[in-house]
Amino acid sequence: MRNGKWIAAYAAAAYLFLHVPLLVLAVFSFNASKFTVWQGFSLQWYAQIFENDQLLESTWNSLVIALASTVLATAIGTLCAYGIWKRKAPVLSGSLYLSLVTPEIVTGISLLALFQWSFRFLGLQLGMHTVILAHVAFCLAYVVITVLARLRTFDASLEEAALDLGATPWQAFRLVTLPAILPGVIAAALLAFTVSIDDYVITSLVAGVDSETLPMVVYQMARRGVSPVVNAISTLIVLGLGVLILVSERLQQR
Amino acid sequence: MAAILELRGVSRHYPGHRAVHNVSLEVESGAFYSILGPSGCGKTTTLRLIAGFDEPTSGDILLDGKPLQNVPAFERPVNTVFQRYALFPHLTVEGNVEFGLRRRGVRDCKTKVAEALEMVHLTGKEKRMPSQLSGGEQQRVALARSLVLEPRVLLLDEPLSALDPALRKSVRAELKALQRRTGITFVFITHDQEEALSLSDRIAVMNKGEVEQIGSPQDIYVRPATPFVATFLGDVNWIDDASKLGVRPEATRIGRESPGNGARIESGQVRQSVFLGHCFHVETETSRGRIVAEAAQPFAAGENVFVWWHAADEMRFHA
Amino acid sequence: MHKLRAWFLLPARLVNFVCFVVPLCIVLAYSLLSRGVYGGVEQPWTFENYRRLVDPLYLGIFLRSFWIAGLATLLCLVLGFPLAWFIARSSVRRRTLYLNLVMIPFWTSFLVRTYAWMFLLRDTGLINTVLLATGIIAEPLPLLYNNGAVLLGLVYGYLPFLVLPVYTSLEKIDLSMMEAAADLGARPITAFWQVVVPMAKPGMRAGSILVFISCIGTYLTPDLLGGSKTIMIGNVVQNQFTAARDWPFGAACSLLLMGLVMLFLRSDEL
Repeated sequence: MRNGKWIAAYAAAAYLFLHVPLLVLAVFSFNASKFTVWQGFSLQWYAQIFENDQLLESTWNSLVIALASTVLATAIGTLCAYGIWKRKAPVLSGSLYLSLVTPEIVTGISLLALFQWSFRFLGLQLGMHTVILAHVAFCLAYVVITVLARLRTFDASLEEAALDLGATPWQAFRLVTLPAILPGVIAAALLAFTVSIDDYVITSLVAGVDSETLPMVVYQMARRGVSPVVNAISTLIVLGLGVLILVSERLQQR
Repeated sequence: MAAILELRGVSRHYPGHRAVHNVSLEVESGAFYSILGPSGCGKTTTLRLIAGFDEPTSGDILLDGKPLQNVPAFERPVNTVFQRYALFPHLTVEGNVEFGLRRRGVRDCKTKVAEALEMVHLTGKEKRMPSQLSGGEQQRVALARSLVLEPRVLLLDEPLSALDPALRKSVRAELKALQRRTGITFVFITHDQEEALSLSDRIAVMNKGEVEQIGSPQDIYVRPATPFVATFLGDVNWIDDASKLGVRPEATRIGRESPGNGARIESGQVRQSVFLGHCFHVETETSRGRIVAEAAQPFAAGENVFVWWHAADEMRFHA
Repeated sequence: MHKLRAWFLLPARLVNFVCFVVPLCIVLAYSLLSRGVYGGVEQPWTFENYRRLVDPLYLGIFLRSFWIAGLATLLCLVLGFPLAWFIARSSVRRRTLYLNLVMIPFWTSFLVRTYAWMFLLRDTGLINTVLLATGIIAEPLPLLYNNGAVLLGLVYGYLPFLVLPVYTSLEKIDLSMMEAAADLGARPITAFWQVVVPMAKPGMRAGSILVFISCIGTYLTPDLLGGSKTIMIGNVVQNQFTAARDWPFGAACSLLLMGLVMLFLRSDEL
């Protein structure tokens, strides 16, 4: 039984619904006019991105934060997934899963509460470090789930073979298990990077004066009103993240 | 000869399940020792206990007289050939074989690797990846990888079961030759009685987590200790209802006339003759029930015949 | 072996404890304290913040949040099921492509996707511009900053959350079962209700719960598409911690949200 005409037509409409808003956004980022009337092709809004110091600086911040938190979350999450794969850790797994479904706003304000409370004793302030810590915390669950999925397809006897041949547990992990699950680890890292660089809600709550990120600037610009520059930067974001996600999906299916 | 490996009352109990129960056995140095049993009988668990992948809940495992308790797998001078070989897919043949040597800090492993590969006839395939090898070649890499470490005992977990049947017999012969040449003690796990009988110096038959009988291949085939061993190793004609007295079809003769000497004789009627290539199995219906006899020529269904055997070939069990 | 595993789990345990468990405990403590004069919290301990949750002003917002999240979930179910069915019934080679077409925009920026609807729905947005230019309307339609816009944004945002699990359960259905049902005399529509829907139920339930808990806790969508007119629980929380400077009440609202999320997650296990 194949798909009928009606269901295919419906699916086409659904895909249009999912993709047209982004496509339209992209098309109008090349519009010569500031208004939503097509007046010819122009790259001026893209040029403006590179003249806007706030955008450039926040992009730099976002990249630094995303890179740092990706490296940390991937390292911690991969080790954690391996530990859970060896033997279940129900409390930790449950807590990680809960952190994944906790509304972002709740995660954000609870981290803010933590930082405000503990910084009274530590004499620290909100900044890059708090943002990175927050990002590591919420990226962790994504990494654990992705790496765990990969480990479930890993033949445990390979690791026993390594032990059998005289490798210590650590050597068995580093020389046999890790190379085998590497595609999953990279996929997890790409996913963590995407989740981190896109986050607005949590970041805006725990960021300090020196750590304004790209989504925060985009948000402010969007609040102020629609501007073709936002269309342009949005198009770049979607394209960039789309490529990362595509690569991540490919790696996970390999 | 002294026992190189000894299990004393080894048990591995899981909640609600006794995987291995009170297993005791002694493996002599240089022996080809098989642990034979149906799937789920605990033979693989036993092997994992010896290798150190699992710990017994009670009992001792001794290697060269020294208990292996608390010695982790990677420190035991015992190596395993896994059922599906477990070759490292990201390493070449060479990388797989030198893996263990490197872990021991052996500097110049090139010669040893070359020797090991020559021993299993894989010279020239050093740079291949495991995925580029046939099943038989993969198995030989797995062997070389373990043998290069010159283990005190080599454990083999159904190494032939993943091969296609046509290959099995030749690999079997090779395995036996390899064992003779190296003089390494083999502990061989299998569910195939033919494999066990043809390869082993000694066999331990396991069932439901316990050892049913230990002996030479002839011993356990001709003088099985339990009805289970008798039926697991070959066909049996049960002469009584309680599985206390049996005789193997190849020890049972058939003829149209009674032999009239001291043999046990039953008269019966032929049900059918089944051609097996080297002989016929003739199924007869007698007053003792169904009895199968081996014959050189077929008998027609419905024919009245006599079946007989010698008392010395009877297998007696005390239930 | 066990020792290594403990070391491997340690950093994650630490991060999860410090950045998830402890913060929630602090929020719990805050929710039982009083509002400080300059923001922050003060003693005495009190249940007052929880009592205020049923104030008509907030109760109205909570009920609307429920209503919007429920309706968005229902819409996702109705719109997402046929799409999941379409993907599951496509040839194996195309399935990955069709799934990626759903998932890839989903994983790219949520903020940008919400902004895209602002761009379309504003008074000077694309839809109004086109309608005005073609003379269909004389005045721009008030498309943005209302319940409808929030609903649209939520359905658009979380539709993939439903499609994926429903697809996963539909994919497992052996089509020969439909044929067997037909063979036994069931009409297609009967076979669908008797065979497909029961089999897809776990996916539908899991997907609906995911969509619902995402919608009930949403902040960004009502903030950008609802403006000041359509606010939901998430916005109340944010407001208490920023502009209103009433941390204890914000903490109580957060815990209400957490409670709701956990309640609906539990309902999946039952």
